[in-house]
Amino acid sequence: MRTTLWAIAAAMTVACGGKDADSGAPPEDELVFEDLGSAEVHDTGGFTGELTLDVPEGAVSALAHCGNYGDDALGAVWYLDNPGGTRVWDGDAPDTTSWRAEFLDDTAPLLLSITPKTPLSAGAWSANWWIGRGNPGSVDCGVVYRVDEVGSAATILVDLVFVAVPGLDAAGAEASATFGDALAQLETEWASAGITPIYNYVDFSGDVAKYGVVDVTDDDYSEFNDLLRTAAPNATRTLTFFLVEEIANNSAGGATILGLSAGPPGAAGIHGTSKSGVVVSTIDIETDAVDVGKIMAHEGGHFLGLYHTTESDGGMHDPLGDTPECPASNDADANGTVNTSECGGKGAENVMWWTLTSGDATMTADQGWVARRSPIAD
Amino acid sequence: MRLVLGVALAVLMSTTAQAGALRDPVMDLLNAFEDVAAEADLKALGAGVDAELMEIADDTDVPLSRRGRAVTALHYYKTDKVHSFLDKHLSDKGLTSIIRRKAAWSLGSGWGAESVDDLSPFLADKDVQLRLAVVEALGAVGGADADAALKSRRPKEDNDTVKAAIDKALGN
Repeated sequence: MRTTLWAIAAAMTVACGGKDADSGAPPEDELVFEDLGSAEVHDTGGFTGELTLDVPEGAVSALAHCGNYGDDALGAVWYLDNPGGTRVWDGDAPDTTSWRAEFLDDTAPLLLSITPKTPLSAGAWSANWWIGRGNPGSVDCGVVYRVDEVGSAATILVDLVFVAVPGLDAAGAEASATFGDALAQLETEWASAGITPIYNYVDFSGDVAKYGVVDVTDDDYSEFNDLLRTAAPNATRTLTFFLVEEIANNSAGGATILGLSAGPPGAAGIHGTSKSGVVVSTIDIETDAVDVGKIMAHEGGHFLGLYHTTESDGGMHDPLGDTPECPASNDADANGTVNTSECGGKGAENVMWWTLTSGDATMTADQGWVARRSPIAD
Repeated sequence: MRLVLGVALAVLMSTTAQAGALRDPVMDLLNAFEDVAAEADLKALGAGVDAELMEIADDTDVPLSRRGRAVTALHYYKTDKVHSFLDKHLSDKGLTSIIRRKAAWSLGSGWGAESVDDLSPFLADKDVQLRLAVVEALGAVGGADADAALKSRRPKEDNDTVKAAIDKALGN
């Protein structure tokens, strides 16, 4: 049923969006990179010490990162102060600010801005990362500023890396109507945020047998991280989608994960790290290509700095002001999950809803505000 | 166009008639982008979820990834009926690889050491990804019997990735 109706919908979709990669990559000189050096951290866990982000005039976003602390260790941005000295994120009191940071393995990106409530301003921002047990004793930190103007529309250069897509390689995908259905869905959903993807088709040159199915466990994402570390796009301002047959969670009986993004946020503009892209399961490409496009839209949203509008238990929401929330009080069947049917009009129609739904999902103005400010957008 | 819509409507009605009352909440859990359906969330839905999962697993109108997730989730329901269902799906060479792989994992996760005899023959399957899944499932099962099966297969395996997976499963 789903296949039939979506096939009809896809056939009725007006071709739009993606331009050819020949139209050119975004200008590199709009990005300003700064090496923040190495920070000593106690190997049983500790802080990097306060690092200063000298945000230049005209910057619309900044992506700072401290990393290379290993796939076995977790780290997070612990606090962030704006140039006026106001603490806009406090890991000791996370519910008191309109910001959000996650514990991440190996590398923890810090994206400014992830919400219009915390707009980027020129001047000295201060940040401190906490890095957990198992780190090598030091971490490497850096930042990239995007000095640019942001309008109501933007393009994002997308590398489609074909690791193991059933029946398709890069050349075949360019001519495939089925794969085109997936991209049309991505374009439709991102269009609601004013984002147009531009594609570059690439065949994966690494170990397909290993990465065709990306195996992770709840506490070991090293295979996922290693695949992202191979990201080496021609243009710096690129979002790399690794298209694999599936991601399998071996802590959950080998269950398929539909897609995983680095972060959120991903290390936009920083390549060769464990946070340098998105991995998408494509086992549905031949029968439900629209779903693959929806997964790409959602995971790409995470990479750009977007969170689930509401997490599945209804207990946590994104830091944006205009995205609908569906708190746990909506859990009518008391199964501990705010289901799609329980959250109509409360975020279930959003690209960043926690579970995949039918129909064209959309993004809000604030989500577009975040996505178009990414260092890779132009 | 009218004919196409008519066919779509007929398929819709047909599928709705077949689907159980638990279809929507179960599918919501199976549709999660990053999370996998947790045992507690499924069991909170009450009785009959295992039957619904088996129906979803065989429903070709459901996207393959979600059918695979249904097979995986069956390992939370250790009944003879589910065991038989998984054994049959692992053995069915006519099924797509992903369903067979998920059946292998589900047997290992649900039945542990009791599944070694079910899984071991498929260490020699011609599908590399199925062999990998069986190796990983046996590695997760652990124990003397699973290790013996893996050690027996190791010298005969010709794929480097599978060899590495066997070594990893054996802790080498």
